[in-house]
Amino acid sequence: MAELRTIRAGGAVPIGTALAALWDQREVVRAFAVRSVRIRYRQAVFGVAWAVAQPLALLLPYLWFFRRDGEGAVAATLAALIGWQYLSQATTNGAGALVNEAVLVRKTAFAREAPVVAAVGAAGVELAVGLVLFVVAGPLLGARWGWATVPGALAGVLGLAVVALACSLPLAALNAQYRDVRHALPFAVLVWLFVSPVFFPLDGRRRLLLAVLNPAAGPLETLRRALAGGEPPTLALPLSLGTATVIGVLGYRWFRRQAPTLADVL
Amino acid sequence: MVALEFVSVTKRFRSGPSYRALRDLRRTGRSSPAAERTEPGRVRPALDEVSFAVERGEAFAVIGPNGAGKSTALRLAAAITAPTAGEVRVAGRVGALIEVGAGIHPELTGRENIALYGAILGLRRRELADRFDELVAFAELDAALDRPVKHYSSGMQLRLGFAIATVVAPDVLIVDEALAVGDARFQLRCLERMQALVRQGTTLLYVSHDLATVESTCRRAMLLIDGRVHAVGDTAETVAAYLRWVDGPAAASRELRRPGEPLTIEVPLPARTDGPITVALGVRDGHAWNVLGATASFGPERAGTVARCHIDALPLAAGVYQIFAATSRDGAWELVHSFRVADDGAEPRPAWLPPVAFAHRWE
Repeated sequence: MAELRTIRAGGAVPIGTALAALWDQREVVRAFAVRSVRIRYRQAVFGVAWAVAQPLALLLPYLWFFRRDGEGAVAATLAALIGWQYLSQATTNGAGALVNEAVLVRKTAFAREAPVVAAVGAAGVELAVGLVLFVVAGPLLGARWGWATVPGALAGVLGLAVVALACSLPLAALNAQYRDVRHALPFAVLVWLFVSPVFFPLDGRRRLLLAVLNPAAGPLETLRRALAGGEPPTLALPLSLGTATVIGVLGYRWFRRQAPTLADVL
Repeated sequence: MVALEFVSVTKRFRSGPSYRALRDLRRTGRSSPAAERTEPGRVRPALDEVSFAVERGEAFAVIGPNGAGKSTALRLAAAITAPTAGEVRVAGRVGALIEVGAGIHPELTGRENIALYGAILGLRRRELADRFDELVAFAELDAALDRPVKHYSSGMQLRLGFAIATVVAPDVLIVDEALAVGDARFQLRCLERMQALVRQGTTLLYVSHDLATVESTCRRAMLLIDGRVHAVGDTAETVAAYLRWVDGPAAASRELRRPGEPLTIEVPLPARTDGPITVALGVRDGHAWNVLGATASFGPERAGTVARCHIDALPLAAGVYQIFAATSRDGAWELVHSFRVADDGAEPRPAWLPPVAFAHRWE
């Protein structure tokens, strides 16, 4: 017989308890992720081909209107687009995860982080397809690879996942309380794209300031440098990750305070 | 050894709509727990200082009228939500069958749904694979298992839900009224399954309006009224306390009738109406379900008058009955009359025998 677990009133779940519970329920995270991938492609004829189509569709107008000359510029933009596609999908789905699973939250008990973490993880499926696309198409578009390509790309991808998780945990709990988030999010993501180094490189005087203000800047630049030029990360990566950590720690604390009574507001 | 314990548990919900928009925040200011405590009008306590303990292996029922806080108590026990004040203590794995279809996604197949719900109940993938055959056999779903759940009937969804909740052999099983759906045969099998789990040492927390099932399944019960514990203890005594409460102050002046006698029931009609007034009449024998029922419609000109229902010959066996009436389409049931039927010559009625008397003869 297991020992008595106590559910107390008020306050945030201590971070140790919350993370232990989440680790304990890793099967739940996995099941949520598998499920969301299945639901996403269940009635879609093209299935995972959407993962290829989306960055390419974004690339075409860029090539048409904004193409700047320069070796590897197209490859660099495609690399950043694949990373951006993951970040926006992971953040949007993560922020909506609790509202989408409202029925389950209202009726069953599980670590409330699980659907959010699963959404950020499940978006990785399309990222993987996108990366395979880049491996095939990159050399044709002028990508050059070196020793830093694989570790740089890994650092960029992990950085993007950290940023997506740090943003979507508090957004998911906020969305459960205030449905305004759902209306604001698509617009906010669009603004985020404009201030992220996707269609422009991260350079010039404001480069480090942007990396601090926009935590997506460092990981995106890291991914672009690694995939398109085989270059190692710059100082922008740790600066962005520092901001992401601050957002993540504060956001997760707020999340843990909302988590025990999310079933009442959803 | 205690398996489940509530220690002065209070639960308040925000009143008003269940979700908020930012404009509400702007209007009311930031709502803090302290602010909610000082504004009793804004929050209603669903549970008020509720304390009880359930021993390991015990079957414990929560009974009471609608809105008494029974389901809130179950949700707290299942750790779906946290109390506003007090402590909830639970030992071991909790399996909750709170509502039909909890955790079932319509686009996914039965098999895919089992995977997520099994994980939520704490089953590792291998454990689930081991028990899969047992689950499928219990739910009688083998052919439908790979079809999306949206094509299931509500009975099939219920069977799936109950099978998932019980196949994990939880330490504490929480069942809320779910047996009201599904065919009679499956209801019976669910009851048997619950009782078998209790015999194996599972602790059962059971909410139902079906007082007969409560009495046959649970040894102890708690009566909740308006979020407070009204009575807790032996099931028969708690059920009796509930019936006394339902009966209200009319109990003392209860009139005595004999089977086959005529009876006239008066129902005051509402003074104001927008159209025809519908009256529904239900005779109950202490359970939540009516044993007899009748309905009628009156024109608006009858508003404010009294409708009379004449029963020529009372088709009831010995027992205590309450008559509830509801006027208008969705009006609440209210007690309008209470009476006792005595049949001096007859043997005491066994529990399985419905209270309806009808003309019949044996050869």
